Order: sequence, then structure tokens, then C-alpha cells
Amino acid sequence: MIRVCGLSFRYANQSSNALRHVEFDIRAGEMVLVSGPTGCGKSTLGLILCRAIPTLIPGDLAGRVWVNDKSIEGLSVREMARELGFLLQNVEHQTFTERVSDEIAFGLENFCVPPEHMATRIEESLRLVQGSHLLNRRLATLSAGERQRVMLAALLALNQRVLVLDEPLAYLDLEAQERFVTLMDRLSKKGKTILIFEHRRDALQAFAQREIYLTDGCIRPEPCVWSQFKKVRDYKAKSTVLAFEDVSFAWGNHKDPLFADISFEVKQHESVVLLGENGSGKTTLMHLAMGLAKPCRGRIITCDHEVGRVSVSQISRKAAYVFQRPDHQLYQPYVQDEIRSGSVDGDAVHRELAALGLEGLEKRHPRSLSMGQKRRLTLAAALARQPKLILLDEPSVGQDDASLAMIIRRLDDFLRDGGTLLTATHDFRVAMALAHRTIELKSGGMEQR
Amino acid sequence: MFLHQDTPATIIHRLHPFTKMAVGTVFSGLALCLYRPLALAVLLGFMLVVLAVARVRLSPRQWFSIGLFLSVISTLNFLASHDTCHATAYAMRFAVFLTAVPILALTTDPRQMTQALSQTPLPGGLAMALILVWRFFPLMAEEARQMRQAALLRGSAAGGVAMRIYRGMLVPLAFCVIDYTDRITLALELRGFTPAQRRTCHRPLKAGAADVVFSAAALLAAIVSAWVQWEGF
Repeated sequence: MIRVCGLSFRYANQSSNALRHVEFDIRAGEMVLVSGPTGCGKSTLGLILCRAIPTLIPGDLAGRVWVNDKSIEGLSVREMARELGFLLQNVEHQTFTERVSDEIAFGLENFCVPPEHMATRIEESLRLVQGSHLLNRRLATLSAGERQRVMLAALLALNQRVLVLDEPLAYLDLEAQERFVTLMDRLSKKGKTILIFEHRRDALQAFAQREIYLTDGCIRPEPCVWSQFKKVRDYKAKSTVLAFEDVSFAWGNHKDPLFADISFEVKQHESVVLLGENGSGKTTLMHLAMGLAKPCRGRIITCDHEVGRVSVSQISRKAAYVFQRPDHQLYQPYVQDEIRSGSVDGDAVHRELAALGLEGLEKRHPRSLSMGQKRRLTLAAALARQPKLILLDEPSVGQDDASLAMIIRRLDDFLRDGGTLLTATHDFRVAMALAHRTIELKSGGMEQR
Repeated sequence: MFLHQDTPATIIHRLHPFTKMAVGTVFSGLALCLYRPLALAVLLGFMLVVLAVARVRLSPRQWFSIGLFLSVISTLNFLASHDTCHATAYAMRFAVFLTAVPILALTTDPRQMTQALSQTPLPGGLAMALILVWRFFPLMAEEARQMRQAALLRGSAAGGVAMRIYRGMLVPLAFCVIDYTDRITLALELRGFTPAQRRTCHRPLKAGAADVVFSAAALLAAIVSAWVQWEGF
């Protein structure tokens, strides 16, 4: 179904190849996992398969690719889209309409599907991703995980024979991940050819018939899967650093609260992991803790400050919040300046760069880094300021196993040195490694374990 | 992500975009011709009722900003003309323009706009470009909101006010625009969009009874305002 022969590619203005002599064959109905560390060339391979390279992204391309027994040479991206469906890595900025149903219909309209067939295909594709309840929702109100499901539904509605999915598990909660993997397994058994580009080898390796492991643009034998990371050590918990007292929150124009009467404490030296389905309010809870959103009821104490009575910048002198999307927090022209800002000295900059695998990138512009590197950079900038509390939103997205291990190791040191950590994650391995305790947001309430 | 909940669609949301465009254009044109405050108040009153029916809610800060803007306009006008009536009419004319824009922008989704534009002789590519621009502003507003939050968290560590605006807002926003353009181009092509090709339509737009009622009410408001201006009180 897919045949790749002697494929090499070098981006324009780059000195080294992103892919080097890659060769593989994939049969119809096969589900193949394409994995490898950050920057190994996975996304480049995907972009070549969908013809974005070289038609939209210039560079030197060598080798040949066949899809459905036809050479893809000379095809445009939209011609290729008839044969091969491609789910892009980042679900932000890929939507064209306001509502979920219209978004799924958009591709069908482009493929000239008769209007009388559209409703069935939209409902069917949403049912496949267990997203029927999202049908009439506005896209702007969906969480990243819900949006990822909608984009997958939009792809499935087009019914191409080959699916290429770039990091489809990134924002999915554990339950949604399991449903996704089962769905892909079922589709491949029905004859669809599926390529999944993913860091999360542990979640997919059991289902994929084969794995293609890329390192530095070449196919290499795959290393062992890291099914778990070294857990952070237990420290004696001390004074309370973050406290929620009977906190309720509802959106401005909604009667039903997102959560009601939530109370919990996080103490010094403690690491608490926030769990919950997509859209359960994990990020909102972090916004509340920093004073970026206001609760309807209740009291929040962050680092001895009552939220709402002091300014956000006063709270952020003692607490750091690392966003889900790092781009909004990067504002300096060099990586080293991003960490140095404030009263951080040069030694601390080098220490953080080394601890989080960013050495050698000091003089790079932060925007030129990969998504995983940007995330580690925003974390390094937060750690260098030596806050009492760090709120960490989805730290594992875009991280390969080795990078994730580095992050966990550094966070362990942060806890040892008196820090406190509240992490929101969908990654079960991260939750296992970081949690002294977990808080699960569920049906407007919470459950502590 | 930090989320906002769904707002329900109202009768104004369901109107044909051309009906809203026509009313907005006619009212803006008429506002340019009227000079009596009471006549302009009729138009403004109609627009405010439409905004209320459409459940367009403004925050106290937005009301304050609009009020301040209109006060400045009327004060400057009064200083130039020494005519209270003229200054009031001038500010009210601005208020009519200001209300006409959100009626269309906040109650028309891009899909409706695409379909409405595709019924015109505009080339398909141009129609899609207009839609993407239509979507661009709310998306960038959301990006700017998150950047503001990041700037708040940084506080004075980011330097002086000018540096904070330049590095904290303008530079990230510029990157964001470039990123948006790249992504959207690729995403459009991956979803099989071709500007020139024929497309089918999931939910065709039709003008209905609500459009007739809305147009009639708007026409009545226009006639009353014209009567107040040229015949009236």
C-alpha cells in the first residue's frame, strides 16, 4: 500500500539531512507505529507522504514513494488528500468553521459528497471517536483533547484508504487513548492502512503490527519501551503552599458549575497530579490558582497570598505556571535570555539548560526550537527562578522517553529542595512517576487518592 | 486550554447574512444623512434592541470604553462647533456605526459567510480568503488574551512597559500570524479544498420569515427616524 525507496530530504537553508535513505514497505490493512526521539524526522516523513514536502515546504528531496501502487510524484497536496488522510500534529489553528458538525462537513463539501449523505457520515464519524455529544458544540469551547477527537472524526468521515496520524495521543486522556487505539485496530482489520507517528510507544506497541524507529533521519532497531519512569522520592510534607477552600467555578453564562465546592491542599515538598477527562477543568483550576480566573465561590490561597486580593504578578513572584502551549511564554531573542530574565544568574542558566537537555541551544531563538524543546525551555525558565510552587500543564506532550525522564529527574530535585508541584497530565506514566497524591476532577467534583 | 462555554444561537444568528449586511449598510448610510439627535436615537435604539435579542453581552469595561470614546468625540465636536445638538448627533452617529458592525460580526459564523459569498460572483479563492480573515481576528484575539496572561505572570521581570508590549505581545503575535498562515494553508489543502472547484453544501442558506420580519422592523425604524428628521418634532 505504501512503498518508500531511498528517501532523503534536506530542508532549505539547513546543512544536514532530516531524512537519510529511508526505505520501507507497508501492506494494506497494516497498522505501523513510526517512533523516535524528538527531531528524528517523523513529521518530515509524514509531510512527504502527504506531499506538503516538496509542494509547500521547499528542500532537496531524493527517493521515491508509492501510495496505492501509484507514484506520488507530481501530485498536489489536495490530490494526495483523496488517497491519504493526514492528521496534523497540532490541533490548534486547523479549523475553518465555528461548529463541530460544520467542521466535519467542510471536508465532505470539498470532496463533493451529496448533502443528503453528509448527516449520516458526520454522525457515524463522531460515533467512532465517541464524540456524538460534541455534534452541536462550538469549536472554541472544546478542550484540546475534544478538539483532537473532532479532527480525527473529520478525517474518518472522508474515508480515505490510508491514514497518517501525527501524535494523535498528545492531548487524549487515558480512556480516550484506549478508545482511540481500539478504533485504529478495528479500522486496520477492516483494511485501512494506518501509520501512527507517536512518542507514546508504550500505548501503541501492543497494537501496531510493526514499528519503524527513526533516529537522526535513519531507520534503526527500536530500543526497549519505557513503560515507567523512576518515581520522585517521598519527602516529609511541611506547610501548606496551595489551598482551595470550597471553591466553585462556572462559566459566565452557564448555570451548571464546571466544579463545585472543591477543597484540597498541597504542601511543601509534595507533588500532586491532577487527572480528569478532557474538558473536566484541569487547566481552569490552574488558572484559578494563579488568579487568572475568578471563582464563583470559595477561597484560594497560593503561596500565602489570597487569590483575588493581590495582583497576579505578586502571586507569580512565588509561584510559576508553565502553560500547556509554550509559545505564549517565550519572548526573548535567545534561549539563554529566556531563562536569565529576572534575577537569575549565569550559573543557574547553565544548570537548567544541562538538566533539561537544552545545552548547545543557548544562542538559538526560542521560536526555532521543536515543541518538546520549547516546553522544556519554559520549564527551565520557571525552575531557574526558584519558585515555591510550580503549576505544570501537560509536560509530556512532544517529549520522547529520554526527555521525559530528564524532566522527572529535575522535578524530583526541585521537590527535594523545598519546591511544591501541581501537574495536570493525561500521560499515565507521568502521573505514576510524579504523584505523591492524585486529584481526579470528575462530574463537577473531585476525588483524592 | 482555557475555555468559554457555548452561547445559544438566537433568531439574529439565524438570519441570512445578506439581511444583516443590508440593514447594517442602510442604517450606517442613513446615519450619515441624519443630524437630529432624536432621529439618530431611533436608529440607535433599534440597533441596541437587536444586540440585546442577539444576547451580545458587553462587559462593564467595554461599556466604559465605548462611553469614554463617545464622550471624547462629542466633547471635541462641541469645542469646535459650540453646538450641543450637533455634538450629540455626531456622537450618536458614531454609536450607530459601532453597533452595526458587531451585529454582523458576532452573530454570523464563517460557514454562513462562505455560503453567502459563494452565491455572489466573487471567485472561490477570494471568498475563502475573506472567510479566513473573518476567522483570523477572533483567533488572534484569543492568542492575545493568552499572551496577556503570560505577561501578567511575568510581571516586571519582562522589563519596562514598552519592552513588555514589544517582546511580550507584538513579537509573539507576529510569529503567531506567520504560524497561522502556514498551518491553515496546509490544513486547507489536506482537507481537499481547491478555490476554483465546485463544492457541495451541508446546510444551504435560505432567507426565511424571520428575515422578512427583521427587514420590515428595520424599514419601519428607518421610516420613523426619517420622519422625525424631516417632518417631526
